[in-house]
Amino acid sequence: MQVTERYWAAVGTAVALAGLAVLADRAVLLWGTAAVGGWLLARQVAVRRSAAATADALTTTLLPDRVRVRADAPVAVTLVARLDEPAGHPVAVEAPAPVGATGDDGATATIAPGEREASATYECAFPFSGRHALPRPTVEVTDAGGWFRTTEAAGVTAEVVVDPRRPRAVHVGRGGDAVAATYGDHRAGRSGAGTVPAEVRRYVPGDDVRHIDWAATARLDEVYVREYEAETDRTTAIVVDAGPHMAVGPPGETKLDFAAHVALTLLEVAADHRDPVGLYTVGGDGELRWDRPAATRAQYAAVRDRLRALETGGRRAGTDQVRRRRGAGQRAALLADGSPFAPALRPLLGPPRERRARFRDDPLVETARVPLRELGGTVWTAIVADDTDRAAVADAVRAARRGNDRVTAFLLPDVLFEPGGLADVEAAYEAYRDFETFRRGLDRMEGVTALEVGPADRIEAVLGARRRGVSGT
Amino acid sequence: MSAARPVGLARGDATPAGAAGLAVLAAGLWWLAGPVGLLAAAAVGALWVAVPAVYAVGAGHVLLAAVTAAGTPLPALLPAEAGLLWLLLATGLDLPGSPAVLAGGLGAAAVGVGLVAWLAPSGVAWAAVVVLALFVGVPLGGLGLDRLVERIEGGADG
Repeated sequence: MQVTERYWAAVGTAVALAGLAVLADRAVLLWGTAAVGGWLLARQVAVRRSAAATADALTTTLLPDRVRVRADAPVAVTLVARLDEPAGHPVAVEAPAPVGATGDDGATATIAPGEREASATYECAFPFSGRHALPRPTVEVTDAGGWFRTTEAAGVTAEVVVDPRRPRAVHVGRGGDAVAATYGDHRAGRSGAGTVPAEVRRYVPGDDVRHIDWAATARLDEVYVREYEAETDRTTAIVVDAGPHMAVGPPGETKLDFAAHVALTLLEVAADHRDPVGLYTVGGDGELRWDRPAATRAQYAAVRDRLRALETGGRRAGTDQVRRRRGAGQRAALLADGSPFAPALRPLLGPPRERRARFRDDPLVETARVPLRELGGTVWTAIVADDTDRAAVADAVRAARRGNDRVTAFLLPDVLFEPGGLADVEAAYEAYRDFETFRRGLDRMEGVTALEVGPADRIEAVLGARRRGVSGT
Repeated sequence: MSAARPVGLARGDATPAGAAGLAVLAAGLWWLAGPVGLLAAAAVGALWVAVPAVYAVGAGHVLLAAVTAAGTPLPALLPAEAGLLWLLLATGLDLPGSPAVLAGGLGAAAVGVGLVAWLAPSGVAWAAVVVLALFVGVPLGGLGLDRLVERIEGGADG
């Protein structure tokens, strides 16, 4: 409970009367002190009880028009205040806007005397992704004389989940052609009874005509067949390059935005199939970050949160498992093949080897190796990176292959993201052709699928202009 | 009670219920000091209309002491005092649960009147200390305790 200036003036009056009583030696003035002080106490108790009763009789609700929005998208939050019975005085309920949100400061709903309900709405937007809690509404009560003011929290909070801005039209394909495939069901390298469709691809001579997918054929005007694969449990390792070179592109549609979008989609597909998922990210200064794959809701949520918060730049390495130790014997134990610390420590402490040195220097390659070092069983590695350092990407793809494992590289052509990159369409097309050569080289690797990822409109701009130029000549 | 913050000059608490208290005060002061007492009552009435009753009652006590002789026994001042207390308690009628407020106020008034009457022969200074401790110190202490509880509860919510 807060007191106003009038309260202190009244206290001053009581004290002044007491002083005057002593100076004038008139005890009757002390009756004034007792009267004012007693009156203030009685009123204070009454206001406190009334405020508590008002808060108890009040039901407040915060209703955002959407509980999940994109960053910077407007959200209208309605405050509804309801009394059990009409009050003889106005009751004001205030709902402040969340800290960090832009737009209105909040809203105040005032229930008029004799009424039972009131509502008010404010609009705000959240510039940052994440979970944002809306502050609890408060009801402020001031007595008619203006002596006391008390604020009580009323109602419960609500939450808005803000997703980062997403790219609008994402193209995933080969050579400009979109891929009509599912990336959930996974290959076992064998077929048999009880198989499920895994991929739809163009018909090639020799395919079983019984596997022709007539719906895709009718839709795409070319003959497509559906491949069937046996179901298996498979660990999904998502490797994302989050270095500064991934920040190229318009706001909300940078390479990293596309990479995060692809990774989130892969996560959701894996979650639908309840496959274990692990996320491995590498930042600009080579720092690795990863967590052990798991098929739990907590793991899916943690990976989802990390992808939403994905930013370029350095990150703390996943060195929670690394401990400093002294002594040669302990050092040898750390660097032994079976040691979980070996992958992180060998580049620093182990004897240099030509291939290892190169991997050691390239964090993306090292990141691609980490999941295979740690995991058993079948691993599907999805590498999401651009083509800024093609040699590193190729090495990372090779490092991720192992036995029956499959690797899918989602490649973001730099030419499609550079500002002004399409100003010279001919040059852009040549750069795209160069990228396509690189992509096909990876795609031809055993156990590797390489796909392009980029803005659909820009790919169309590059290829469409080329087609128009060819048809015009 | 309203939820609006008070602004500007304090307004008076003049109500029909309080007018009866003013009448009692006027009668008491007339009985004690004749026309001078009546003038004092009129001054209190004017203040009662213009400013919150608590200030008018404070001024009323000063005027009561001024228009009466120093040796006037306290029981003789009770009728005028009753009028002043009536002015003060009438302002509690706007509160929910006003009967409880009135009862509490009357109880506090009775304690205050009795305490002063009992302590006055021992010296006004001593009486002043006791009255201040009880009737100013206790409300302030309760206020501090209330704020502490609010901070604890607010921290638990956050």
